[in-house]
Amino acid sequence: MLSFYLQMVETPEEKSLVEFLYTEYRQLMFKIAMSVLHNEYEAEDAVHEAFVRIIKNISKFHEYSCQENRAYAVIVVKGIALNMKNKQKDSEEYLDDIPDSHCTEEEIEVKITCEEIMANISALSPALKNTAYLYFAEQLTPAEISEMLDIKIDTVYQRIHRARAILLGGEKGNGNV
Amino acid sequence: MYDEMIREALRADFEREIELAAEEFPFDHRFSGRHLRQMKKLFRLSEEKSPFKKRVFIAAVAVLGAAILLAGFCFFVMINDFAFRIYPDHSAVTGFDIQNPAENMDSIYSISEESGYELVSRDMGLSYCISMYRQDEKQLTLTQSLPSCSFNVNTENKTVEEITVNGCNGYFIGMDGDSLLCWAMDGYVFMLEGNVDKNEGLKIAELTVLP
Repeated sequence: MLSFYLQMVETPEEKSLVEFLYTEYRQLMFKIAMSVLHNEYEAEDAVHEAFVRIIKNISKFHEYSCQENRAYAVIVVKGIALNMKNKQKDSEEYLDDIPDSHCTEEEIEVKITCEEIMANISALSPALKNTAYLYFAEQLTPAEISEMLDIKIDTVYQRIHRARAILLGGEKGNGNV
Repeated sequence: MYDEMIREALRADFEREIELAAEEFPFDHRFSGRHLRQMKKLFRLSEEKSPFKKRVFIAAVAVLGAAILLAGFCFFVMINDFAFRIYPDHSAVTGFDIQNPAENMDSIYSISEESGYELVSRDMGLSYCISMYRQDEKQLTLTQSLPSCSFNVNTENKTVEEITVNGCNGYFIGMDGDSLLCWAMDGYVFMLEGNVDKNEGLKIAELTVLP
Protein backbone atom coordinates (compact mmCIF):
# COMPACT_ATOMS: atom_id res chain seq x y z
CA MET A 1 0.00 0.00 0.00
CA LEU A 2 2.85 2.34 0.80
CA SER A 3 4.36 1.90 -2.63
CA PHE A 4 0.94 2.69 -4.11
CA TYR A 5 0.91 5.99 -2.28
CA LEU A 6 4.45 6.78 -3.22
CA GLN A 7 3.79 6.17 -6.88
CA MET A 8 1.58 9.21 -6.66
CA VAL A 9 4.70 11.35 -6.22
CA GLU A 10 5.54 11.67 -9.84
CA THR A 11 7.36 14.87 -10.51
CA PRO A 12 10.75 15.89 -9.19
CA GLU A 13 9.11 19.02 -7.79
CA GLU A 14 6.74 16.98 -5.68
CA LYS A 15 9.55 14.81 -4.45
CA SER A 16 11.65 17.78 -3.45
CA LEU A 17 8.57 19.34 -1.83
CA VAL A 18 8.10 16.27 0.34
CA GLU A 19 11.72 16.39 1.41
CA PHE A 20 11.47 20.12 2.03
CA LEU A 21 8.40 19.65 4.19
CA TYR A 22 10.18 16.98 6.19
CA THR A 23 13.28 19.08 6.70
CA GLU A 24 11.28 22.18 7.56
CA TYR A 25 8.56 20.81 9.78
CA ARG A 26 9.71 17.52 11.25
CA GLN A 27 10.77 19.08 14.55
CA LEU A 28 7.49 20.96 14.92
CA MET A 29 5.50 17.88 13.97
CA PHE A 30 7.47 15.79 16.43
CA LYS A 31 6.80 18.24 19.24
CA ILE A 32 3.11 18.34 18.47
CA ALA A 33 3.01 14.53 18.46
CA MET A 34 4.98 14.42 21.71
CA SER A 35 2.54 16.82 23.36
CA VAL A 36 -0.16 14.23 22.66
CA LEU A 37 1.68 10.94 23.05
CA HIS A 38 4.52 11.77 25.48
CA ASN A 39 6.55 8.95 23.92
CA GLU A 40 9.48 9.59 21.59
CA TYR A 41 9.18 6.41 19.54
CA GLU A 42 5.47 6.79 19.07
CA ALA A 43 5.91 10.45 18.19
CA GLU A 44 8.45 9.48 15.53
CA ASP A 45 6.03 6.92 14.18
CA ALA A 46 3.34 9.59 14.06
CA VAL A 47 5.66 11.84 12.06
CA HIS A 48 6.39 9.00 9.68
CA GLU A 49 2.70 8.19 9.23
CA ALA A 50 1.96 11.86 8.73
CA PHE A 51 4.35 11.97 5.82
CA VAL A 52 2.80 8.88 4.30
CA ARG A 53 -0.47 10.80 4.33
CA ILE A 54 1.19 13.98 3.08
CA ILE A 55 2.66 12.07 0.16
CA LYS A 56 -0.79 10.69 -0.59
CA ASN A 57 -2.10 14.23 -0.82
CA ILE A 58 1.01 15.97 -2.05
CA SER A 59 -0.72 17.49 -5.05
CA LYS A 60 -2.83 19.57 -2.72
CA PHE A 61 0.22 21.05 -1.08
CA HIS A 62 1.06 22.87 -4.26
CA GLU A 63 -1.98 25.02 -3.75
CA TYR A 64 -1.00 26.12 -0.30
CA SER A 65 1.33 28.74 0.99
CA CYS A 66 4.04 27.91 3.51
CA GLN A 67 1.74 28.92 6.36
CA GLU A 68 -0.89 26.54 5.14
CA ASN A 69 1.63 23.77 4.60
CA ARG A 70 2.71 24.16 8.18
CA ALA A 71 -0.84 24.15 9.44
CA TYR A 72 -1.73 21.08 7.49
CA ALA A 73 1.38 19.19 8.56
CA VAL A 74 0.60 20.00 12.20
CA ILE A 75 -3.04 19.03 11.90
CA VAL A 76 -2.25 15.75 10.19
CA VAL A 77 0.34 14.66 12.71
CA LYS A 78 -1.88 15.72 15.58
CA GLY A 79 -4.76 13.71 14.19
CA ILE A 80 -2.56 10.65 13.80
CA ALA A 81 -1.17 11.08 17.30
CA LEU A 82 -4.69 11.34 18.71
CA ASN A 83 -5.71 8.17 16.92
CA MET A 84 -2.67 6.36 18.27
CA LYS A 85 -3.49 7.57 21.75
CA ASN A 86 -7.10 6.50 21.44
CA LYS A 87 -6.05 3.06 20.27
CA GLN A 88 -3.82 2.72 23.30
CA LYS A 89 -6.75 3.46 25.52
CA ASP A 90 -8.81 0.93 23.59
CA SER A 91 -11.30 3.64 22.95
CA GLU A 92 -12.69 3.99 19.52
CA GLU A 93 -12.98 7.19 17.68
CA TYR A 94 -16.48 8.34 18.08
CA LEU A 95 -16.75 9.03 14.46
CA ASP A 96 -20.12 7.65 13.78
CA ASP A 97 -21.66 8.24 17.14
CA ILE A 98 -21.97 11.96 16.82
CA PRO A 99 -25.56 12.77 17.57
CA ASP A 100 -27.21 14.91 15.05
CA SER A 101 -27.28 18.35 16.43
CA HIS A 102 -30.59 20.03 16.18
CA CYS A 103 -29.00 23.37 16.31
CA THR A 104 -28.36 25.31 13.17
CA GLU A 105 -26.67 28.57 12.87
CA GLU A 106 -29.95 30.24 12.30
CA GLU A 107 -31.35 28.79 15.51
CA ILE A 108 -28.40 29.90 17.62
CA GLU A 109 -28.81 33.28 19.17
CA VAL A 110 -26.70 35.80 17.35
CA LYS A 111 -25.26 37.49 20.38
CA ILE A 112 -21.75 36.19 20.77
CA THR A 113 -18.37 37.88 20.75
CA CYS A 114 -15.01 36.82 19.46
CA GLU A 115 -13.75 36.46 23.01
CA GLU A 116 -16.58 34.10 23.81
CA ILE A 117 -15.77 32.04 20.75
CA MET A 118 -12.15 31.91 21.91
CA ALA A 119 -13.31 30.66 25.27
CA ASN A 120 -15.55 28.05 23.67
CA ILE A 121 -12.60 26.61 21.75
CA SER A 122 -11.47 24.88 24.93
CA ALA A 123 -14.71 22.90 24.83
CA LEU A 124 -13.76 21.39 21.48
CA SER A 125 -12.19 17.96 21.50
CA PRO A 126 -8.87 17.72 19.65
CA ALA A 127 -10.50 15.89 16.74
CA LEU A 128 -13.25 18.51 16.45
CA LYS A 129 -10.70 21.28 16.66
CA ASN A 130 -8.61 19.72 13.90
CA THR A 131 -11.55 19.45 11.54
CA ALA A 132 -12.84 22.90 12.47
CA TYR A 133 -9.44 24.46 11.82
CA LEU A 134 -9.15 22.94 8.39
CA TYR A 135 -12.68 23.99 7.50
CA PHE A 136 -12.91 27.46 9.03
CA ALA A 137 -9.29 28.63 9.11
CA GLU A 138 -7.86 26.95 6.03
CA GLN A 139 -11.18 26.85 4.21
CA LEU A 140 -10.81 23.37 2.84
CA THR A 141 -13.85 21.59 1.49
CA PRO A 142 -15.31 18.69 3.47
CA ALA A 143 -14.16 16.34 0.72
CA GLU A 144 -10.60 17.61 1.01
CA ILE A 145 -10.72 17.33 4.79
CA SER A 146 -12.06 13.80 4.51
CA GLU A 147 -9.19 12.81 2.28
CA MET A 148 -6.50 14.54 4.24
CA LEU A 149 -7.54 13.34 7.66
CA ASP A 150 -8.54 9.94 6.33
CA ILE A 151 -12.01 10.08 7.82
CA LYS A 152 -15.46 9.61 6.36
CA ILE A 153 -16.97 12.64 4.76
CA ASP A 154 -20.12 12.22 6.82
CA THR A 155 -17.94 12.48 9.91
CA VAL A 156 -16.45 15.68 8.55
CA TYR A 157 -19.87 17.22 8.10
CA GLN A 158 -20.91 16.14 11.57
CA ARG A 159 -17.77 17.54 13.14
CA ILE A 160 -18.10 20.86 11.35
CA HIS A 161 -21.67 21.15 12.42
CA ARG A 162 -20.96 20.28 16.01
CA ALA A 163 -17.87 22.45 16.22
CA ARG A 164 -19.85 25.43 15.00
CA ALA A 165 -22.55 24.74 17.52
CA ILE A 166 -20.07 24.53 20.39
CA LEU A 167 -18.13 27.58 19.32
CA LEU A 168 -21.23 29.67 18.95
CA GLY A 169 -22.39 28.56 22.32
CA GLY A 170 -25.40 26.55 21.23
CA GLU A 171 -24.06 23.25 22.59
CA LYS A 172 -21.71 22.07 25.26
CA GLY A 173 -18.74 20.01 24.30
CA ASN A 174 -18.23 16.77 26.19
CA GLY A 175 -14.58 16.16 25.36
CA ASN A 176 -15.41 13.48 22.82
CA VAL A 177 -15.70 13.85 19.10
CA MET B 1 -19.84 36.75 9.92
CA TYR B 2 -19.47 34.11 12.61
CA ASP B 3 -17.34 31.97 10.36
CA GLU B 4 -14.87 34.83 10.17
CA MET B 5 -14.81 35.10 13.94
CA ILE B 6 -14.41 31.37 14.25
CA ARG B 7 -11.57 31.50 11.76
CA GLU B 8 -9.68 34.13 13.70
CA ALA B 9 -10.25 32.35 16.98
CA LEU B 10 -9.09 28.99 15.65
CA ARG B 11 -5.99 30.52 14.08
CA ALA B 12 -5.06 32.23 17.30
CA ASP B 13 -5.64 29.01 19.21
CA PHE B 14 -3.54 27.10 16.66
CA GLU B 15 -0.60 29.47 17.02
CA ARG B 16 -0.91 29.30 20.78
CA GLU B 17 -0.84 25.50 20.64
CA ILE B 18 2.37 25.58 18.62
CA GLU B 19 3.92 27.97 21.10
CA LEU B 20 2.96 25.69 23.98
CA ALA B 21 4.49 22.67 22.23
CA ALA B 22 7.70 24.64 21.62
CA GLU B 23 7.80 25.66 25.29
CA GLU B 24 7.16 22.11 26.48
CA PHE B 25 9.90 20.72 24.20
CA PRO B 26 12.36 23.57 23.69
CA PHE B 27 15.16 21.49 22.20
CA ASP B 28 15.22 19.88 18.78
CA HIS B 29 14.76 16.15 18.83
CA ARG B 30 17.48 13.87 17.61
CA PHE B 31 15.59 11.39 15.48
CA SER B 32 16.49 7.74 15.94
CA GLY B 33 18.27 5.70 13.31
CA ARG B 34 15.12 3.63 12.93
CA HIS B 35 13.07 6.69 12.04
CA LEU B 36 15.72 8.03 9.66
CA ARG B 37 15.85 4.68 7.90
CA GLN B 38 12.06 4.68 7.60
CA MET B 39 12.07 8.16 6.11
CA LYS B 40 14.97 7.39 3.82
CA LYS B 41 13.11 4.35 2.53
CA LEU B 42 10.00 6.48 2.10
CA PHE B 43 11.85 9.05 0.02
CA ARG B 44 13.87 6.48 -1.90
CA LEU B 45 10.76 4.59 -2.84
CA SER B 46 9.36 7.82 -4.23
CA GLU B 47 12.14 8.04 -6.76
CA GLU B 48 11.24 6.60 -10.08
CA LYS B 49 13.59 3.86 -11.17
CA SER B 50 14.22 3.22 -14.82
CA PRO B 51 13.02 -0.31 -15.58
CA PHE B 52 15.69 -0.63 -18.24
CA LYS B 53 18.53 0.23 -15.88
CA LYS B 54 17.14 -2.17 -13.33
CA ARG B 55 17.06 -4.98 -15.86
CA VAL B 56 20.60 -4.23 -17.00
CA PHE B 57 21.80 -4.28 -13.41
CA ILE B 58 20.08 -7.60 -12.70
CA ALA B 59 21.49 -9.10 -15.89
CA ALA B 60 25.00 -7.94 -15.04
CA VAL B 61 24.77 -9.44 -11.57
CA ALA B 62 23.47 -12.70 -13.03
CA VAL B 63 26.32 -12.89 -15.56
CA LEU B 64 28.89 -12.14 -12.89
CA GLY B 65 27.42 -14.76 -10.60
CA ALA B 66 27.38 -17.34 -13.38
CA ALA B 67 30.98 -16.56 -14.25
CA ILE B 68 32.03 -17.06 -10.66
CA LEU B 69 30.15 -20.34 -10.46
CA LEU B 70 31.59 -21.56 -13.73
CA ALA B 71 35.06 -20.66 -12.62
CA GLY B 72 34.62 -23.09 -9.77
CA PHE B 73 35.38 -20.50 -7.18
CA CYS B 74 38.90 -19.97 -8.40
CA PHE B 75 40.98 -17.23 -9.96
CA PHE B 76 42.89 -17.19 -13.20
CA VAL B 77 46.36 -15.68 -13.40
CA MET B 78 48.74 -15.65 -16.34
CA ILE B 79 52.41 -15.88 -15.48
CA ASN B 80 54.87 -16.08 -18.32
CA ASP B 81 52.99 -18.21 -20.82
CA PHE B 82 51.51 -20.34 -18.03
CA ALA B 83 47.92 -20.21 -16.95
CA PHE B 84 47.37 -20.65 -13.21
CA ARG B 85 43.94 -21.63 -12.05
CA ILE B 86 44.38 -20.73 -8.40
CA TYR B 87 42.39 -22.62 -5.76
CA PRO B 88 42.63 -22.10 -2.01
CA ASP B 89 45.35 -24.71 -1.47
CA HIS B 90 46.86 -25.35 -4.91
CA SER B 91 47.01 -24.24 -8.50
CA ALA B 92 46.36 -26.11 -11.70
CA VAL B 93 48.95 -24.94 -14.20
CA THR B 94 48.84 -25.39 -17.94
CA GLY B 95 50.96 -24.01 -20.70
CA PHE B 96 49.33 -21.20 -22.59
CA ASP B 97 50.14 -20.18 -26.12
CA ILE B 98 53.38 -22.25 -26.19
CA GLN B 99 55.29 -21.64 -29.40
CA ASN B 100 55.33 -24.67 -31.72
CA PRO B 101 53.85 -27.10 -29.18
CA ALA B 102 55.17 -30.62 -29.32
CA GLU B 103 52.69 -33.33 -30.20
CA ASN B 104 54.60 -36.38 -28.99
CA MET B 105 57.40 -37.39 -26.64
CA ASP B 106 59.91 -38.37 -29.32
CA SER B 107 62.53 -35.96 -27.95
CA ILE B 108 63.53 -36.70 -24.35
CA TYR B 109 65.57 -34.09 -22.52
CA SER B 110 68.02 -34.78 -19.68
CA ILE B 111 70.06 -32.87 -17.13
CA SER B 112 73.61 -32.71 -18.40
CA GLU B 113 76.25 -34.72 -16.54
CA GLU B 114 78.07 -31.45 -16.26
CA SER B 115 75.68 -30.62 -13.45
CA GLY B 116 77.09 -33.42 -11.33
CA TYR B 117 73.70 -35.08 -10.98
CA GLU B 118 73.22 -38.71 -11.87
CA LEU B 119 70.10 -40.15 -13.50
CA VAL B 120 68.56 -42.61 -11.06
CA SER B 121 65.29 -43.57 -12.72
CA ARG B 122 62.98 -42.63 -15.56
CA ASP B 123 59.28 -43.16 -16.12
CA MET B 124 57.70 -42.44 -19.48
CA GLY B 125 54.18 -42.05 -20.73
CA LEU B 126 52.55 -40.95 -23.94
CA SER B 127 52.53 -37.34 -22.84
CA TYR B 128 55.21 -37.12 -20.17
CA CYS B 129 58.65 -38.28 -18.98
CA ILE B 130 59.66 -38.16 -15.32
CA SER B 131 63.39 -38.42 -14.60
CA MET B 132 64.90 -38.71 -11.10
CA TYR B 133 68.42 -37.36 -10.41
CA ARG B 134 70.64 -37.45 -7.36
CA GLN B 135 73.79 -35.88 -6.09
CA ASP B 136 74.76 -36.92 -2.61
CA GLU B 137 71.77 -35.97 -0.52
CA LYS B 138 70.25 -33.76 -3.15
CA GLN B 139 67.42 -35.13 -5.24
CA LEU B 140 65.88 -33.64 -8.33
CA THR B 141 62.84 -34.57 -10.39
CA LEU B 142 62.69 -33.39 -13.97
CA THR B 143 59.30 -33.71 -15.63
CA GLN B 144 59.01 -33.17 -19.33
CA SER B 145 55.50 -33.06 -20.79
CA LEU B 146 53.41 -32.00 -23.69
CA PRO B 147 51.94 -28.48 -23.31
CA SER B 148 48.42 -29.86 -23.07
CA CYS B 149 49.17 -31.46 -19.71
CA SER B 150 48.07 -29.74 -16.52
CA PHE B 151 50.11 -29.76 -13.29
CA ASN B 152 48.77 -29.37 -9.78
CA VAL B 153 51.21 -27.20 -7.87
CA ASN B 154 51.14 -26.30 -4.19
CA THR B 155 50.82 -22.51 -4.21
CA GLU B 156 49.23 -22.05 -0.79
CA ASN B 157 51.00 -19.17 0.97
CA LYS B 158 53.60 -19.19 -1.78
CA THR B 159 54.95 -16.52 -4.07
CA VAL B 160 55.25 -17.27 -7.77
CA GLU B 161 58.14 -15.54 -9.51
CA GLU B 162 58.74 -15.13 -13.18
CA ILE B 163 62.01 -16.60 -14.43
CA THR B 164 63.86 -17.16 -17.66
CA VAL B 165 65.65 -20.42 -18.46
CA ASN B 166 67.89 -20.27 -21.52
CA GLY B 167 65.79 -17.37 -22.78
CA CYS B 168 62.58 -19.28 -22.23
CA ASN B 169 59.80 -17.98 -19.98
CA GLY B 170 58.91 -19.80 -16.82
CA TYR B 171 58.11 -19.45 -13.15
CA PHE B 172 59.67 -20.34 -9.82
CA ILE B 173 58.04 -21.30 -6.53
CA GLY B 174 60.06 -21.58 -3.35
CA MET B 175 58.90 -24.20 -0.87
CA ASP B 176 60.68 -24.27 2.51
CA GLY B 177 64.16 -24.78 1.13
CA ASP B 178 62.94 -26.72 -1.88
CA SER B 179 62.51 -25.27 -5.32
CA LEU B 180 60.08 -25.75 -8.15
CA LEU B 181 60.92 -24.35 -11.54
CA CYS B 182 58.78 -24.61 -14.62
CA TRP B 183 59.50 -23.36 -18.11
CA ALA B 184 58.53 -23.94 -21.72
CA MET B 185 61.19 -24.86 -24.18
CA ASP B 186 61.23 -26.33 -27.66
CA GLY B 187 57.52 -27.00 -27.55
CA TYR B 188 57.61 -28.90 -24.26
CA VAL B 189 56.87 -27.94 -20.68
CA PHE B 190 59.58 -28.76 -18.13
CA MET B 191 59.26 -28.88 -14.37
CA LEU B 192 62.24 -29.25 -12.07
CA GLU B 193 61.67 -29.98 -8.37
CA GLY B 194 64.23 -30.68 -5.71
CA ASN B 195 65.82 -29.85 -2.38
CA VAL B 196 67.95 -27.08 -3.88
CA ASP B 197 67.76 -23.33 -3.68
CA LYS B 198 66.65 -21.07 -6.48
CA ASN B 199 70.08 -20.26 -7.89
CA GLU B 200 71.16 -23.88 -8.08
CA GLY B 201 67.82 -24.81 -9.54
CA LEU B 202 68.25 -22.21 -12.27
CA LYS B 203 71.78 -23.48 -13.06
CA ILE B 204 70.54 -27.05 -13.35
CA ALA B 205 67.52 -26.01 -15.40
CA GLU B 206 69.81 -24.32 -17.86
CA LEU B 207 71.75 -27.60 -18.18
CA THR B 208 68.61 -29.42 -19.35
CA VAL B 209 69.49 -30.44 -22.86
CA LEU B 210 68.61 -32.82 -25.61
CA PRO B 211 71.41 -35.47 -25.58
